Amino acid sequence: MTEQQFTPLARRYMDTIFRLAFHYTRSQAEADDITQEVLIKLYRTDKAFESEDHVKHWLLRVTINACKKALLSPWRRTEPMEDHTAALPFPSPEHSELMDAVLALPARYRVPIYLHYYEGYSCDEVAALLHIPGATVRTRLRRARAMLKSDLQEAEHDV
Amino acid sequence: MFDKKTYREAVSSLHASGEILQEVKAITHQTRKPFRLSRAIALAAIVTVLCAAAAVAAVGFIRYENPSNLLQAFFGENVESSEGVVEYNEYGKLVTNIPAWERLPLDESVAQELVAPYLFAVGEQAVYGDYTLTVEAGLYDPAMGAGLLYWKVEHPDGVTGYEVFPDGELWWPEDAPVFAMTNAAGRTYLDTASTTDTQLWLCTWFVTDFITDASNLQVSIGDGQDRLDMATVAVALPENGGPASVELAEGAITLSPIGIRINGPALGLPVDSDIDQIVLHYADGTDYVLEDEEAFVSNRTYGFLDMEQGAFISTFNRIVDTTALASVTIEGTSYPLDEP
Repeated sequence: MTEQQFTPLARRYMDTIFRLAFHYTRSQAEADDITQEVLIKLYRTDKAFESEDHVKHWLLRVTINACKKALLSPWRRTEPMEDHTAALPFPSPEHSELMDAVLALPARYRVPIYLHYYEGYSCDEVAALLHIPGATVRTRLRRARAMLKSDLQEAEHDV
Repeated sequence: MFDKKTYREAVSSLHASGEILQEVKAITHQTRKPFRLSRAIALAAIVTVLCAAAAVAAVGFIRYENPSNLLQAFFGENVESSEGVVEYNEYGKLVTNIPAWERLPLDESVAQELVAPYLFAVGEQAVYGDYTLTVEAGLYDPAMGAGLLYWKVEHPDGVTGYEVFPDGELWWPEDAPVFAMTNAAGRTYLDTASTTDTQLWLCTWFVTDFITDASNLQVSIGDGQDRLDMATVAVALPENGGPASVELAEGAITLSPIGIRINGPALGLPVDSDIDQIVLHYADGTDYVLEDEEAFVSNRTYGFLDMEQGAFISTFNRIVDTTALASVTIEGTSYPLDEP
């Protein structure tokens, strides 16, 4: 890929990659590392992309694979997730509280939440990205919403 | 309530680090240093190929002869057994949490029968500055989707900068002058018996996953700070062959002498959480506790969980004679091996 092709694509999708990686890893540092790794793969690929959608789909798939590899050492780190969200510049405490609740969900729920509610992919498109059945995506979104409703109501009562 | 608007606003405030694009451009614009394969090594490789022609015809690869060091490092008492390591930093945060493990003496006869025939010679090198990386040998188990690589890093003035956990796992800190890795999901251990000041011998357990399939395995060495400007050896994995394996629970469990592969959903297990208890029971009454989180024991060398498909792969720190097993317990449920 030439620099003329790469730079606008990198600028356009850098945050997309980062946000997906952050939903997987819950760590800004790891998400930055994965973003760098994926962009380097983009620069070095000789794949012929048919459209912008094709590029984005490819980037998301590569990011998903990179995130899964990053999550393969369960024993070494036990840093609380709140340490990472506390340093992030959310617009308000309400935004921070909601992100904490989403990030507290298991990965199988928070990643479809991101792809569906933020990136706007349909359930079937999310299913294609994650290589899982469409019905599974719908079930996970439903359960995630139920868990978030419960968690956020509990948080309200705690205040 | 899940407020979609608030969620989108919150996510929109997340941004990648501002330096990433410049770093990517700096890395991708660097010129890769050339690597040379010495004439002596090239000739040795040719001789090895000629001598092993019959072996190639028989099993589809060149058999790795004299694997005793490899077998000891992977499956013997490479490190001492331990009751586990739990450490906290000065702020009271848990920084190391390694469960108890047990390393046993290598059973040479079992190793020669069940593993040695499937070890293939590689003998490929890459050079980065004054560092030489040599991939010596490997083993691939297609039924498991897992394997091992035996390789070394050399420098005439010494190989430094790496660190080793008590269980032998090796890693490269940020300030290491050199960095060596595979592109597969896996874990690398130090061969404590063979390593010297100038030769670092390494044992890597790997699984073939979405990025690295059996045709794309690579081992690389490069600058410790850059970590992207690297010289690489490509390793061709055999397409078939591998240690004999057995299936349990209608194929949901695959056992080989080097590891176990479990289809979690087929056993009614959650698709995205680790398996906390796996015990192999031998017919003679002894057990190999691969995992027992409650007892804080882990005798696996590597664990891989495909969170979407629920496939769980775990490699062993000893060779398992599957013909001597009676059953396997996974999360409290016993799965007997079929009687012959």
